[in-house]
Amino acid sequence: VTATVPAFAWRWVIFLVVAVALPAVFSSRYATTLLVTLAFGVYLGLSWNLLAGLVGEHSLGHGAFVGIGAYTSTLLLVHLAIPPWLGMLGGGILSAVLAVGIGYVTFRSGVTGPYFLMLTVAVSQILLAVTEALDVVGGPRGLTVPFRGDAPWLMQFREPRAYYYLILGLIVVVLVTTEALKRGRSGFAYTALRLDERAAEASGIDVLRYKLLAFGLSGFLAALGGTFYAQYYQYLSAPTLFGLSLSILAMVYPIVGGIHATFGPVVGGIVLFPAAELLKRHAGDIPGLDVLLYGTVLVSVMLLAPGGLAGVAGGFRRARLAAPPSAPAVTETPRRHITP
Amino acid sequence: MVILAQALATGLVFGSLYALLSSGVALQAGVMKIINITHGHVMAFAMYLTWELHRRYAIDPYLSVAVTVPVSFGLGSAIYILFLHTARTRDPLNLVIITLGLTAILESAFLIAYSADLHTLRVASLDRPIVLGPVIVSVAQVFALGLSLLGVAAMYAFLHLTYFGRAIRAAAENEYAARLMGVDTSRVRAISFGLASATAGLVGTLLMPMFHVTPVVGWEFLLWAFVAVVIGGLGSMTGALVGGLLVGLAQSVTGGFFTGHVSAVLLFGLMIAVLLWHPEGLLGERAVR
Repeated sequence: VTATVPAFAWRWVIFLVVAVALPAVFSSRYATTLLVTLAFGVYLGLSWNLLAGLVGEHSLGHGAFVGIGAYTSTLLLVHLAIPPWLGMLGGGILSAVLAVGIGYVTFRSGVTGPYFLMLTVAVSQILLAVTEALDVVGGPRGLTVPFRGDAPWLMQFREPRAYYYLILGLIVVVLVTTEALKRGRSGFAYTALRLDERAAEASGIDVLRYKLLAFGLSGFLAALGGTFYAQYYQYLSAPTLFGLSLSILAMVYPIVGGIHATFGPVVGGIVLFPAAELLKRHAGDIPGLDVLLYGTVLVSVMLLAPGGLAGVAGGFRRARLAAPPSAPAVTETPRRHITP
Repeated sequence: MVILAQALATGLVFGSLYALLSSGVALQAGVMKIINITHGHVMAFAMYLTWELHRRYAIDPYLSVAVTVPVSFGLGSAIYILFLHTARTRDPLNLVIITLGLTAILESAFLIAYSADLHTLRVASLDRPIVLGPVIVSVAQVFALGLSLLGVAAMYAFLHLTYFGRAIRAAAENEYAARLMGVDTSRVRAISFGLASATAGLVGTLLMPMFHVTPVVGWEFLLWAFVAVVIGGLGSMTGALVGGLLVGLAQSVTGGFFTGHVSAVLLFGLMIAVLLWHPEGLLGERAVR
């Protein structure tokens, strides 16, 4: 490792090489579909983490944005024959508008923490109810995406490998977005508003604008994932998309991996997903085992390493670097809600 | 008219159950400033326990209260002592994530033990209809209404008339000041979580003879209880009572005439509006700063 190459560049090189090579190693069709499932979960986590990692608010309604993306591009495709490549932008913009709208009213009225979390659940439950009630969008029967075989302009492929590289491309887009926001002026702004919102405001940072930027992008990118979901699974049902399980999945990888690390959701997915698959395979496919594992890991990580696995790695590195003249490591203290 | 009267009666029954469940949510939100997501699943746990006691030992659902309520109390206290106590000074979101993880564990345990199938407990004597003018209710529904309102009243009396209740309210209002006054706030939180979970246990047992249990039943009830608490005013027992009744009535009245989706949109929309523009709740006083 030469001193001229920054450490983050090595992470990118390793990530890209491994991610591109994975389908060559796990080449069977079944293994590739597992890779797509893993990559989709990682993508969801990364898009969720734009808000959590930068602003510190946890949404438990991320499925709302995924659902909007999936339904919008599919309806545009079915009724107006607009290809999903364009339709995904429509869904993305719709989601971003919703996210900015929710963010504008909640962040201004001081709804934060657990209440923000429950409010996002309410939003996705409303969307779930509306989608199930409206026959125009499929109602309780759901929506089927017509499959046309290999049709790249319709984002449809016979080979799951093509879908893998598509979602990998999207993952790179979120990773680059996250890195871009963490650097320079906006990076300082996000660190400042996480550490002390009022002090940040007093220093002339437009806190609301930065929060809305992160939430809007998070919603936009989640909707792109929704279009991917629609084209890959070719079937949409309101409870799967707007229900709680997708929203919970979106937060598990980032929290386990570490929300303050750019690659945290990737780490979380790489550790959790194979573990859950192996457990299912070897324990006789009892339904609910993966949820049991996710729950146990979530609780353990929160109790033992609240910074996630990346936080543990960072702790080791800090401990090693800070040998004799130990510089006080800059750690983030949680926002204080009650100041006695 | 008959439909409306019937809907009001059903709404009152479910509303009183929501009210009791909400009083637990409000208590936990009061002493810890968090939403305990496990709350609904503690209720589901009590439902399975009631079902199991009835199936194995033919214990009357109302007698099983003597088991389910203390067991739920222990479960709630254990959740606090084992999982939340060490993390209590952290960002409240960390604690919510812990309760979310515990909820996942409970839910998968239900799924593994009981499968995703619907379980019901039907006792002929409790299903017997009672005709009150234009309204027909079952014996189980009358019991649920009476006992859950009694539960809310008991909770209110405990918090307002006993010494320990006053300590809980003091700790909820200002944890630091309460500690300075000699209140053992850790003990307060452990017992508050126990009490709150005991309400969930009672709701579960009362619900079992008139409803059904699935591994995910807790989610829906948690959401409605949360909606009720926000609408009625966080941290207030009267607020939980009024909010719970309102949610139950709104659900059954709109459900009587439209589909269930309408009430979901209506109630979640109302909750969001209250949270944003009147965060003290419809009954709460404007916060004095």
